[in-house]
Amino acid sequence: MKYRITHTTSYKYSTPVSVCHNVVMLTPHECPGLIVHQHQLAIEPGPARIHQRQDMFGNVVQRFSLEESHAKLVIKAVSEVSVQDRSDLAGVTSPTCRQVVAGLADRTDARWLDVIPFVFDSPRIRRSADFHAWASADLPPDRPIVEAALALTKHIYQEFRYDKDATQVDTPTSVAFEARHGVCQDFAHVGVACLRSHGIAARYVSGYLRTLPPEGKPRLVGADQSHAWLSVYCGETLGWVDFDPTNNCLCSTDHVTVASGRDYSDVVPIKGVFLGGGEPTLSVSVDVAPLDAD
Amino acid sequence: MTLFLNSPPSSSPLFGQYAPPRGIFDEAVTSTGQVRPSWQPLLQQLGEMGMERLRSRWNQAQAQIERNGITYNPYEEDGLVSRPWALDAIPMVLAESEWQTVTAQLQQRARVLDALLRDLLGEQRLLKDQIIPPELVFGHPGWYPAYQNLPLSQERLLTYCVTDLARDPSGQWWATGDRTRSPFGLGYVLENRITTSRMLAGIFRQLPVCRLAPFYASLKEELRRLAPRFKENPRIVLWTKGPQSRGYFEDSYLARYLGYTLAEGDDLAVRNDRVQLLTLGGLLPVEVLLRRLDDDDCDSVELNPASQIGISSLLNVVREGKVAVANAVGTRLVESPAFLPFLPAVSRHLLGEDLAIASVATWWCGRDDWCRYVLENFDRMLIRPAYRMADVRPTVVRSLNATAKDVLMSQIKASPERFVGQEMIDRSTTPVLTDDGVESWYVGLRTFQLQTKDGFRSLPGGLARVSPDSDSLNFTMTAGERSQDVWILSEQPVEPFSLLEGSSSLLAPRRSGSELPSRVADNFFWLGRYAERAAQSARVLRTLYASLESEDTDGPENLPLLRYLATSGQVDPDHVVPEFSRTISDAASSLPDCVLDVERPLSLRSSVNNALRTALRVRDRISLDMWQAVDRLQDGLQKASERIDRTSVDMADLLETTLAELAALNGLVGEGMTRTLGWSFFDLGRRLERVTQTSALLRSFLAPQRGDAEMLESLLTVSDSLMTYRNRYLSTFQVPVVLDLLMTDTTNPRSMIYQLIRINEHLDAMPGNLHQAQLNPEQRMAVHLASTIKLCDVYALAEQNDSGRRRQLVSLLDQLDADLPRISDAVSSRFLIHAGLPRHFGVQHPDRDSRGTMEAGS
Repeated sequence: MKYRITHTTSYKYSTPVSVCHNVVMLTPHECPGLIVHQHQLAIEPGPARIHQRQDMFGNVVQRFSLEESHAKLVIKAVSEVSVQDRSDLAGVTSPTCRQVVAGLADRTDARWLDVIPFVFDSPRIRRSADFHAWASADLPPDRPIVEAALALTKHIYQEFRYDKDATQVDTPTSVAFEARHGVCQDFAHVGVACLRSHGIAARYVSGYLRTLPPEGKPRLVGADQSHAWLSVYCGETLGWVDFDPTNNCLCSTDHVTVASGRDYSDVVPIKGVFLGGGEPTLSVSVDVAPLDAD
Repeated sequence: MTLFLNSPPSSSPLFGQYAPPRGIFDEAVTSTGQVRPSWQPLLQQLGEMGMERLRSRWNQAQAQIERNGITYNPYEEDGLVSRPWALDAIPMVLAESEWQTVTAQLQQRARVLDALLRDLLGEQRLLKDQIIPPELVFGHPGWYPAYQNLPLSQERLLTYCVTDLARDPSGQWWATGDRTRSPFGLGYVLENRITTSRMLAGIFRQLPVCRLAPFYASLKEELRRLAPRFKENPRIVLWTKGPQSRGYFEDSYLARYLGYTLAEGDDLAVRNDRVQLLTLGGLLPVEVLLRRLDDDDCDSVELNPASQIGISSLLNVVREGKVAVANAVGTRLVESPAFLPFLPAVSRHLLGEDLAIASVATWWCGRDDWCRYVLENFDRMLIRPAYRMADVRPTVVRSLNATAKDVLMSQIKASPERFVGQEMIDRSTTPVLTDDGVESWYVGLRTFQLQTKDGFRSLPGGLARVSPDSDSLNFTMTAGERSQDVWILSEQPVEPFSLLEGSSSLLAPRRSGSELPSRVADNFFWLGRYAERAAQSARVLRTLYASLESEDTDGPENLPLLRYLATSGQVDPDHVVPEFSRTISDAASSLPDCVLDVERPLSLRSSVNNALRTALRVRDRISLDMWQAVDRLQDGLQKASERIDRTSVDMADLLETTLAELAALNGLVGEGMTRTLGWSFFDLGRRLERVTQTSALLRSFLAPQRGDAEMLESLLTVSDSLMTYRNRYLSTFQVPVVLDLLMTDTTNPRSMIYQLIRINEHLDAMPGNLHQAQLNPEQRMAVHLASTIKLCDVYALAEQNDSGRRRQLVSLLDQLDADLPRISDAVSSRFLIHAGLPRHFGVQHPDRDSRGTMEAGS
């Protein structure tokens, strides 16, 4: 499936901003199942220079500064990507949770060093007995890991109330977990915390979701959203497999990955600081437009 | 036990009682009571000096330490809570031969730490080859992905590092821990040496004590070498956490000694892809940052977003190789105790060498077998956090009660990877001078290693911490009762050396220019204002107290003074009703609070405290005498506030002393400060404050009043102009000539016009104002005010209407009160408040509406 994704973020300030420093992670990078045909990051007003690098997880990070007074900042990322259908993963036989965990622990898994940063605590996620207990029925050691992760995905989907006003972008994972509500970010964090509490490597994924208009209505341009889900390491052969607890599914052609990290703090789409600005107004529009397959 | 059979002179009672505990190593005497050879010359000489002289020298030294404000902040809060640095009279002595053996081992250890860091932040062979468990890196709360692959090649990671030592009963040294971030102590080491060598000057000169200065010269050299550009004379900044931090005294001390600009995060910013020092004259690029703050505080964009003290985008400049940071960002990682048990393997793996100096046995509980061992031998353990993020007091298990032990044990079982258990060492003891004579206290020794182009070298000395209680030495550098200078006695005569010499090329004479950080100028400005405000309050209060002591306590002249205090919210306005005949005696009850109450923002003590706080922030830029003057002011008021009895005689005395100290401070500023921009801002602040205060006084005294002789006399007294008036007009008091003296007389340094002329001069000389064609808004206002005052007709101002009001005077004062704060604000926004607080970009929660509109699997 091929898409053109346009993600526009604009900040309007009531008084001018004299300086800003930004780090953005809005550029998808090639990874298994994802081909990036084209990408463009447009910033208005234009910075003197955009520094680009890869972080240690392979994500593309761009950085820029604006040192002249400005009253508005618009960051527009346009990407054309193709996503491979992975729905067949639901049917494959996967190694058991125990086998995957053991492969990392005894280093027999050839990819252990790349995967190991995702089994420990991270700034937003701390493993705990509570997460462990809550997910125990989903993640028994001898269950095939894809099946186990799907069970966890379903468990979160069923027990957590989707409430976009209940949590903030900085709500701690444990708080969202106690309250059993939140949005995609909280669900992904909770899922990752449960998996890691069982010793399973899991990461947080930020990206886009293609949404379908209600029956009979035209697709609304710009009404899509950035989205977040989780990714589970399923052993050497399968590698990382993505699950979306917000929509209770295994991710396939509707999910487009931009960046993955230990938790949200590693993959914040736009971060940075600015001086001045008075009252800033933020507006975001995301458009995931399917392109005709060639 | 009989001591000193052979060596100490029997005539000396100094060491007669010295009896170290059995079964441990004593630095000065052997187990059979023989003085160790390296200690003989010192003990001999101290013995000759005698207890009395040693004690009196030591008291002098202590007083000197207090006067010089050598302090440390035990808590990171108000900069006013600080303790004098506690130094012991007796240095700790080590023979150079032993020292060389130990430091060779310490230098190897430093190489291991550097190699460990280089590997963990780069290639990670130690993880691949399973020497270090990956959890120590990826599970470390102080590790950030951004640390990986910062430029490792051109920059050394550790410029200097610390190893703390303890000596066991057999005489062997053990490393109890390392510090790799930007270790404390180099400043205190110097201060200890300066104080001790002065206190024991005769002895110090005679003994071949290794000099410290070459090490610091080397440090400067190595920092210069790090600079990406201008290696001959790069701009190097000592980046401090700020006056509230534990290390601030040392930071300012070192900055002054090494000759670097002391800068806080606010003074530095990334512009044009470089780190720049924000000064009054503009931005100045910085080549090297000697950082004294935590790694994750360094850059709030890429590291801890909650931190306010970093430089936004610093890491990007580091990545581009356009600034060097010492020690490099990320180096704190390996000072965590969890690494200690792995160092021997790391040393073999990376250097192919055995680790020469062993660490105290340490077990990381993240390994099952080690955790079991720690829990099985719990009572012998010292429990520390495995990952060092802050100074956390370690727990001595055997000192806990049963409940506390259980709690700790269950904490370890719940998150074993967060703890280490450490064996405790029976530390050695060393002689200390106490009230009871010379006693043996336990000692811990901090050593310093510097990386040079020829490898590591060690400071020939260190920071000894001594305490009668061995356990307390396991804590931080500032733990322990006192510190001691460490004398490494050379086998050869030592060459005198001073950092002040050095460069062989001749310096060209320079004048200080505009290279003053804006924050420093801001502090000078406020120091001037607070000092002036304090002087004004003190004069008003002194006049009131004098009147209390006089026979006629209800004199009408007191009313305006009380009104003046009431306007600034210092006394209850109810005391200021003219009909009330007992005004003054009523108000008298609240006068001590006007002097001493810190809760009142405009009390004398508040002004003095504010002055001290601002002085603290520019300590590296004011003379010791100035600092002492401000400190004495604060001290006097604080001592007074601790007394319960506050008679008016005492208070009057206190006010006299305070005014004398303030006069001394002004004298020091006037005669001692170079006429740099720092001085200009101090004086600008003082002038603005004085004209503001004079305006307030005139309003209180003359706006609604007739102005009889007593009142005018009182006004002239608090305005410090009575003498001049008497010389001119003898004892006839009239309003117009009083107004002339206080407003329009350009020869009276207390008059308004005098202040305004100075203000104009300062504004004209500000950076950027010199050669411009147009006046700035603040210049315009100041010129306008000066001409208004110059042009005013004092007879017209003195005129009263039917109800007794001086309409013209009031409207002039209104104008002054409106414009003076505007001038102050304009100056602030042009030169001082350059930045404001950076804010973080808000982001929208991802996925606000995505649920339910998608069909899975479509």
